[in-house]
Amino acid sequence: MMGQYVDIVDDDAAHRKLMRILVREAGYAPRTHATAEAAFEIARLDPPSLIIADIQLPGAMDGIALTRALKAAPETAHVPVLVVSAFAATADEARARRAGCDAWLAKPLDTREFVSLVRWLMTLWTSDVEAV
Amino acid sequence: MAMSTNRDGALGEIQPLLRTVLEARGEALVAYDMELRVTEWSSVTARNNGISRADALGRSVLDIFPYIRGTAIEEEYRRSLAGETVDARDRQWRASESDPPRYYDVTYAPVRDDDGTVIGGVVVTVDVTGRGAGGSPDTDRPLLRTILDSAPHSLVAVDRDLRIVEWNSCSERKTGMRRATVIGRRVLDVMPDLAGTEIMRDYERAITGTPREIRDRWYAVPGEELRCYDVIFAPMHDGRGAVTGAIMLAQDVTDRARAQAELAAERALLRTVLDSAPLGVVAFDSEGRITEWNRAAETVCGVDRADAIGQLVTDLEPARNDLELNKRRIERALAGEVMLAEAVAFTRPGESEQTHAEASVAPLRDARGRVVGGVAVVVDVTERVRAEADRDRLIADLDAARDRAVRASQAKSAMLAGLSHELRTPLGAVLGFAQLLRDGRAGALSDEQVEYVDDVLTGAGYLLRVVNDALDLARVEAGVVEMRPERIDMRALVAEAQATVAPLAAAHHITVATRILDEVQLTADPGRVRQVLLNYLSNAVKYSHSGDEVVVEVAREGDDGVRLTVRDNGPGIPATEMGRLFVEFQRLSADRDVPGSGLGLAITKRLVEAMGGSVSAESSPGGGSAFHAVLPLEPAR
Repeated sequence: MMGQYVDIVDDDAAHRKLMRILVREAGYAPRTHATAEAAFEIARLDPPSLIIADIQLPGAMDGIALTRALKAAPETAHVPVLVVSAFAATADEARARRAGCDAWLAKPLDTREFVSLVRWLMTLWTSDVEAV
Repeated sequence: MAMSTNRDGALGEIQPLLRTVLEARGEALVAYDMELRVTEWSSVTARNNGISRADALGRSVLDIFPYIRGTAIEEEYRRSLAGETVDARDRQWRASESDPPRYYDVTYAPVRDDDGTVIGGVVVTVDVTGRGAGGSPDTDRPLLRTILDSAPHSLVAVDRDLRIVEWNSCSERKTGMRRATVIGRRVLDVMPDLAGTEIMRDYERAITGTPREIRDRWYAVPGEELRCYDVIFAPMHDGRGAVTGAIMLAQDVTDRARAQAELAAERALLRTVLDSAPLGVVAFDSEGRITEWNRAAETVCGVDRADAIGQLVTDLEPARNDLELNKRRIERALAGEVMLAEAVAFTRPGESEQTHAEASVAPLRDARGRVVGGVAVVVDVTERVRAEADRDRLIADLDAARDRAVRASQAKSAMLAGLSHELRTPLGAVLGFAQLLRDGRAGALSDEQVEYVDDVLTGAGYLLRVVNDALDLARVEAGVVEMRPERIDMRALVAEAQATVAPLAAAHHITVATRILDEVQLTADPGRVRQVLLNYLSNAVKYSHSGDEVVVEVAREGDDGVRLTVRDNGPGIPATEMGRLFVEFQRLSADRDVPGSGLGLAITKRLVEAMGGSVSAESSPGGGSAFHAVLPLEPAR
């Protein structure tokens, strides 16, 4: 079903796997990417319903840059972004918020909190679609 | 034209008056100009010589008296025109070959205009034939008397028996003895204090024909202050050369002598000052020749005064080292320029190490302000220059050491931060998957499996706290902790912290009480203050015995601070371990049973210090502990 994908971007394989399990538990179809560049390319071609990105990513584009790019591209501007960070620093949260992210979660993830946040974001952003 | 009128006019005014005075006293007067032409010829002169005034005026005295050419008389005329007053006594003179000789006392004197320039002369002649040649001088004669009494010199004349025959007004003033009371008496009768003195010997020598001149003779008239005199003793001769007595002529030069003595004292003082001054003083004249070279200059420059005086500055060591530069400095001083603390470097003769000096050079001016030379003040600054070099080296060493320490500290913080971050990622995965297992979300677990997974969660949770604290400490140490100061109501902040720690306190059966001793408004980062308070509070709760009370106190500290105190009634801290309280990873012996990273107090200390405050603790084993944080009311800027 179109628009019910959740894209996960994390360079750490274990976290990609954990989040994939949790997204599935939340009731959605996960797609995982190891780099921001790959995630951005796929998202423009086939926009997901939610993008979860780690703040620290290898390569030229990190989670903040990815958020900014997604919000700037017309194909993906409407997709909610959840930024996950290993840094608990409030400065990082502020940077992510300025880049346009819709939610923020610090690692290590509380698995139950993560699942409920994903469900809440999906409901909030897709309720119009579902209502139709 | 104007000048000759003036001269004639001046003489014209004086001469009739003088002529009248002199003629009334039987004295002959002849006035003459610079060419010895007669300009005045009194009636006594006319009578004595048988030549009328009209015949004499305008003629040269050498024409009127051709036989005086080349004689002492012509010489005396000339001397008067050269500005000298000449007295000749008992001069034999015949008006004509047939006349009997007569004796005259003759005085020649220069005539001067208002500027003091000699414009002619007068000769006054007194007939003393009646007195008899070789007799005692008739000092009652008015002109001579006037001359003697108006002289600023004391004059005493004695005969061969040392009887006083002349005693002028100046002598009267100096001795307080009247002329009338001393004339005819012997010197020693008048001034008995002279007995056996050099003065008496001078009188005695003079009457034997030996003149003497004495400068700066100090003599005190009895009862008067000591005064200084230049004295001349001279024999008196009659017209035939026989000694008839002696004269003593004394000029009071006390003022001059005192001035000279003062000058000498000033010179001595100057010399002493110059030689005791720690500054080298070198003076030089307009040619650059050294006129002064004091003792310090000898020391600084390594050249003796005797070798320096009279030499060219540029020939001597300090200047020779950088000759062109020092030549220019001397030229600039002679051109009126002042140069301060010019650096000079040179090697003293016979030494190998370089001497560093500072020279200030200034022009030396005479009373009219003309530059007549220069003076250089030279200071040896070798020690200072070396000390500065040492200091610069030391500062460079310290800077390098500090940079190394800062780099090492930064490297440590960076490593700690990097390590913490690297540990958090896998820990996140461990905790996440353990939670999935524990909650049965990956399939049902047996009781034993649940227990083991709980052990994994506990261990990983503890590890995560340590990693988080280490990261926090590294951030504080690296100075990257952002402070966002706000107004804080301490009462509200304490209540909030109390609520936060309430579940933990309840679990340990601990009561948390607050005591607000002063209402305090603080400007600081509320998150950080809360972190500090929570750290103290959670420690107090963890270390208290079940049923104990933990107290939070807020009180003013001085005018501009607040003191937060957390007290417990726990086991207390041994004195030997107090010093390790706020140090990283220094868990105390009693901590074995209490979970913690060993970083909490270290972080607290760094945070409080980052806010401009300080931490402290007091404790007695068995008597509980108190932890303090003193914070400034306003953040330090």
